[in-house]
Amino acid sequence: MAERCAVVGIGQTHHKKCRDDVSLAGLVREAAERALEDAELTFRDIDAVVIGTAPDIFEGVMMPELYLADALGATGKPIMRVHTAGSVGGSTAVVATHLITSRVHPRVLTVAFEKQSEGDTSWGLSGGRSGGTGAGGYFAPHIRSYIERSGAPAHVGPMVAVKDRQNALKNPYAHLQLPDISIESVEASPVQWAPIRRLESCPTSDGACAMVLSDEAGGKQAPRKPAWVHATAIRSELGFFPGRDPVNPQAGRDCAADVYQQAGISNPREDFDMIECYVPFSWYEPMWMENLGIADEREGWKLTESGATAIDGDIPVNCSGGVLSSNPIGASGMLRFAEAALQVRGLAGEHQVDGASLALGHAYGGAAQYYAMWVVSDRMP
Amino acid sequence: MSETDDGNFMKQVVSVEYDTKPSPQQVAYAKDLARHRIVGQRCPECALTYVPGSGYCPICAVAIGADGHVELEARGTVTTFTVVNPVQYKGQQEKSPYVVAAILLDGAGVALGHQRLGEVEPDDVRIGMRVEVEWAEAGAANPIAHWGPNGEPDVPADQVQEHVL
Ligand SMILES: [Zn+2]
Repeated sequence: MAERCAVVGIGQTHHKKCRDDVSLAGLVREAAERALEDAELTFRDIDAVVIGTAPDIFEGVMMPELYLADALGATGKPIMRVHTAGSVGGSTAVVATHLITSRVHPRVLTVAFEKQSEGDTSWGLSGGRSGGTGAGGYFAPHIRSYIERSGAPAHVGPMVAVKDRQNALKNPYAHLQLPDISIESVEASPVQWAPIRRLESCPTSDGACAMVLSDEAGGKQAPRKPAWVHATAIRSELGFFPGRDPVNPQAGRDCAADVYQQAGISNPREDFDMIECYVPFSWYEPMWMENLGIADEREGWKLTESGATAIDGDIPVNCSGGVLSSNPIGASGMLRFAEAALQVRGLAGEHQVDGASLALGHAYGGAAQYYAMWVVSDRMP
Repeated sequence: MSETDDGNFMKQVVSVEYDTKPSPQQVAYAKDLARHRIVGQRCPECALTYVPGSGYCPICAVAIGADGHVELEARGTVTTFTVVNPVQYKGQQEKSPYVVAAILLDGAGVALGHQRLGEVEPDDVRIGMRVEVEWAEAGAANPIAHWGPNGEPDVPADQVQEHVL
C-alpha cells in the first residue's frame, strides 16, 4: 500500500495587484514561512521542495527554480519545478504528494507563485504580436457555446461574479475586496470579451501559496488537525482535435472520475461538503459543475441559480473568493487545493463551511486542456 | 514605479524576436490561400476534411496524401464567436472592439478558428450566421481581409454549436 499523505501546514501571501514590497524570492518565502509556522516546523525539517509557476514569459523570469532555491531553504536538497500552465499549482501539489505516498521523502514543502506585476500576461499570451485576445478572448467563444447549448439565463454569470466576491470579503488574503458589488454593477461593467464582462473576469495578482506535506507519522504528530489526501489525479488532452469539446472536456471528466474512484465517491453532489475549483471567468462555475459530475449536462446553471453553490448552500463552491478574487496564475491552482484542505481542517476562518469533512480541489490550465484535482478529508484514508 | 525603504523598482521592457519555421503543409496552404484558393485535406478513412490540413488525420492516425486534397469554397457558418475589446499590451495595434469567430466552411469537418468578421455590427453576429470571405488587396500579409455576411438564411444554431473548435 502507498504511504498516507497529510497536509500539516498551509500558508499564503496577501494577494495584491502589485507586491512591490517584496521580490519574487520574498514573495515565495512569505508563503513558505507561514506554512512552516502552521506546521510548527522549520526549513531544516524539510526533505525536498517542489515548486510551480506559470510559463516564464508571463513574468519574465527564466527558470526561477534555480534562483529561488535559497529563499526556500532548498540549498543541498532536491528542488524541482512542475510546469502545466494555469493548472500548475494543482499539479505541483500532486507531484509533491506523490513524493510522500511513494515513500521517497517523508516531508515535502510545495510552493506555487506568480508575480504578474513583473511581467505582462496578455503580451506573453500573444507572443508580443498585435491582435492577441488573451485568455478571455480564447475562452469567451466556449462560454458563448455553453450559454447557447444550455439555454442558461444571462444573470447566472453575474450571480457567480457577485457570490465569489462576497466570499472574498471573508478572506483577508483575497486580492479583490468589493463590498459594493451587485448583479447590477456586474452587468454595468464593460464587456471585455463578449459575453464576458470585466467584473466577471479574474484580476491579475501577485501572490504565492505553500503547503507542508507529510507522511502518516508526521500527520499524526502534527500540532493542528491535518487534512488527509484521499486521491490525486492529473489529466490532459490536445488543445485542438476534431470533435474536441472545450465546453465539457473529456480530460476533466476523466480526471474527476479518477479521483472519485480512488476516494470511493459515488455521489459527488452528496458526498462533498465543499468544492474549490478554478473559475477565472464567472461562467466556468456552471460549466465545471457539469464537467465534475455535480450537475447533469446543461443543468449546471440551475445549481448556481438555486443558491446551492453559495457559502450557505448545500454544495458551497469557492468559499475563499476563488480565482475571480485573486489570480496569481501559477499559485491559483494550489490556492484551490489549499482552500479545500483548510476547510476540512476547520481552519478557514470566516469562510469556513461548518463541519466540512470532504472537499475537492480543482485546477485547469492551457486551452482548458490540463486538469489537476485532489480530494482531502479530515478522516485518515 | 514605487519606492520602499529597501530600494526602487525599475520598469524594464524587454522584447523577444523569433522566427517560426512553417511545415511544408502550412507553406502549401498559405501559397494556395495567396491565390485565393482554400485547400483542405480529406482523411481517406473517416472522410473528415481538415482546413488547414497537417498531412495526417489525428483521429485515424493515417497520412493524407495529395489525392486527399480538396478545394473548398470560401463560404461557411459561424459556430461561435466573441467580441474582443482589445487589451493594450505592448505591441497591440488594435484599438476598437472587433469580432473573432470560428467558421465551419461548407464541406469541412473542423471549424477554422480565430477568424475576423467584418461588414457586420458586433451586436448583429449570431451563431449559425452564413458568411463568405472578403479577400485582402494583393500583397497583404494575410490574404483574408475578413469574413462578412453573405445574405443566406441562418443555419439553425443546434446544427453547428457542437463545432466550438
Ligand atoms: Zn480520419
